[in-house]
Amino acid sequence: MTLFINSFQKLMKWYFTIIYISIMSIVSIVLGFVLKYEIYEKQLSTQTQLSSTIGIYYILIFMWVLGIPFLIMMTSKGISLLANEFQEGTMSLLVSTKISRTKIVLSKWLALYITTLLLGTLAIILNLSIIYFVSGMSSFILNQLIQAIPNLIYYLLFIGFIFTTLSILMSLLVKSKVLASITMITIIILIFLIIPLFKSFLTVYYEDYYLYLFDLNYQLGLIYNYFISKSNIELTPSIQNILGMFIGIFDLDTMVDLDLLAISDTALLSKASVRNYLNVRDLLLGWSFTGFMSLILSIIILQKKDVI
Amino acid sequence: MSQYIIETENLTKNFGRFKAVDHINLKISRNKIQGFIGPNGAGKTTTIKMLTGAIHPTQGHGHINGYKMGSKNGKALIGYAPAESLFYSDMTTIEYLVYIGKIKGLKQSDAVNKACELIQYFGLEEATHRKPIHFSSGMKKKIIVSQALINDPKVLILDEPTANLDPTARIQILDILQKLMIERDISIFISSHILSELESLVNEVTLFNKGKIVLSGSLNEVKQKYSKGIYKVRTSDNNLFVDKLMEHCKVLIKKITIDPSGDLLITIIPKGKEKFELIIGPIISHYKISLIKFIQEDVSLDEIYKDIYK
Ligand SMILES: Nc1ncnc2c1ncn2[C@@H]1O[C@H](COP(=O)(O)OP(=O)(O)OP(=O)(O)O)[C@@H](O)[C@H]1O
Ligand SMILES: [Mg+2]
Repeated sequence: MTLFINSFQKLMKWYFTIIYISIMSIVSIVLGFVLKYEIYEKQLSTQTQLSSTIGIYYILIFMWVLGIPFLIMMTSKGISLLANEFQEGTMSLLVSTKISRTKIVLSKWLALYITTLLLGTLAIILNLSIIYFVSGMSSFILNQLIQAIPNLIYYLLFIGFIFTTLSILMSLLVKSKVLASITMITIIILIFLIIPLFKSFLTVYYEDYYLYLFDLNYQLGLIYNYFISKSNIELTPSIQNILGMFIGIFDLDTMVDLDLLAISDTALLSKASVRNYLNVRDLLLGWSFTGFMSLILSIIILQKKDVI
Repeated sequence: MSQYIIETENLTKNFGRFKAVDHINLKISRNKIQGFIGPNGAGKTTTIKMLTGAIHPTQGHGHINGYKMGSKNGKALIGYAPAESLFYSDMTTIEYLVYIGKIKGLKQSDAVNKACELIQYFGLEEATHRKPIHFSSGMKKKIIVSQALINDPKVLILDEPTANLDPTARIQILDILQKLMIERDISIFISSHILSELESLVNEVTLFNKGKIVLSGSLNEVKQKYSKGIYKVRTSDNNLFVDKLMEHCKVLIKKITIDPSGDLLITIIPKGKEKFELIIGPIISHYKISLIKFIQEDVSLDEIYKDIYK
């Protein structure tokens, strides 16, 4: 318990929280203005305004609020949590007390996971509030977005679990803290930036070489899509169109190339079908299992380790 | 209950092919201070870390008060002060001590009380609300030793508690240990590569080199074993005494010299000690010589150390 609270306090250091929240807020403010001038102040139908807002909002959450900066911050913090104890040598003190090594791993991980959930939820709420106040969106649209929040938090539960368990494992597998962090950052950048960029060049080989098995962007996208389509908000074709630009989960043939912010005639669009290379339930199970195994493996590694 | 608080059996640690600790059978008596002495790289820290459960032995095992070393019960009995000063960069002295106390299972209030008590005991008052990472080596050592004591351990394991300290700080630490030993029901296991400073403190010593125990026993036993066999003697008639010695027990005697004060320095052969001491009585009473001084010259641990590690 002591170890958990101590780790939690370390993770929730105010400057760390503030830096993260600030980075988050800047983008929220910019987006608020974009929505205001490009959508709400133009003569668009309510339906179009709603679809564009929801599409953009979902992308923002996926890529940014719970995406690149969030995951990089949480994994780096997660890696330091154990790595610092090794580096400063305090681990040899910890393991010589009666607290078990299993408990050390679990306390640290739990602190990290709970911090991730708290910060993620805070970020979602703060992000929406900022956008609302800056853009002056109608309360009808706001209401719709608020309804999406529970499902975004379910997604947060999932992605938080995967990345926290992986970063704990990483910090035990890789001796250098820097190397472990770089590895995790590379994976995150790959998922959210590199893979989507290069995917269009690989379409020819995509199915033949089972590339979707390595396409973490696709897999996460599919899972994200699963969570958001569970909410009351209908994923209209135009929302799918916007999502499709960043997450390659929809069938391109049925997609129309549109200007992100000016979807004027939604009637033209038909609903896109999701590319089901993989079953989303299998994915959810598979990744949850991976997270769980990472935790077990972390415990085993620390158990066997000589703390020099 | 065994007379030993710590016992190991063939305890071994290999790093790759290198044998850092090689089948050692360590025995540490209850309520004694045992010195664990060896040069750099002897394997002291490796042994200690196996006892505290940080390193897993390659072979063999050990027990602490009957509990397997590294087990929860075993670890609950120890207080361990590592050789390096290990602190969290963001904690003050009091926060650090309380934190370690709570990690070791104390309640918040008990941890605070205990921490304050130790701060007083070690004279660390002015350091209470400052961060130890900026302190002098002496202060750091005191804090490291205090954190080891916070759970009232039955065994205190100290890895080079006096390394890198100036004489004042060194004496302070050793005095505190001496006091602890007298005041509490505690056994202390203390590693060092400096022998002389431990000589006044320890009851037992284990000399250690290249992963092996070279010599082990009470301080007296060890000294006896390495005694050079020199006696300082003065009698009412030194000449007669020497004559009679040469007559009755020439075989036991290696050398006799006279020191500047006029005392005889009699060097006897190894293992001649008992016979020599037995024969002195009859000689002096038979020849009516009176014995004014009869002292076996002490050998210092330093000399033993030089002897072993030369
Ligand atoms: N993790 C390790 N990997 C390989 N060799 C090691 C490791 N730890 C220690 N050794 C080696 O084991 C030997 C014993 O080391 P140890 O630290 O136990 O010695 P020591 O008696 O504590 O020495 P010192 O007085 O320098 O502290 C040394 O030769 C050291 O190089
Ligand atoms: Mg050492």
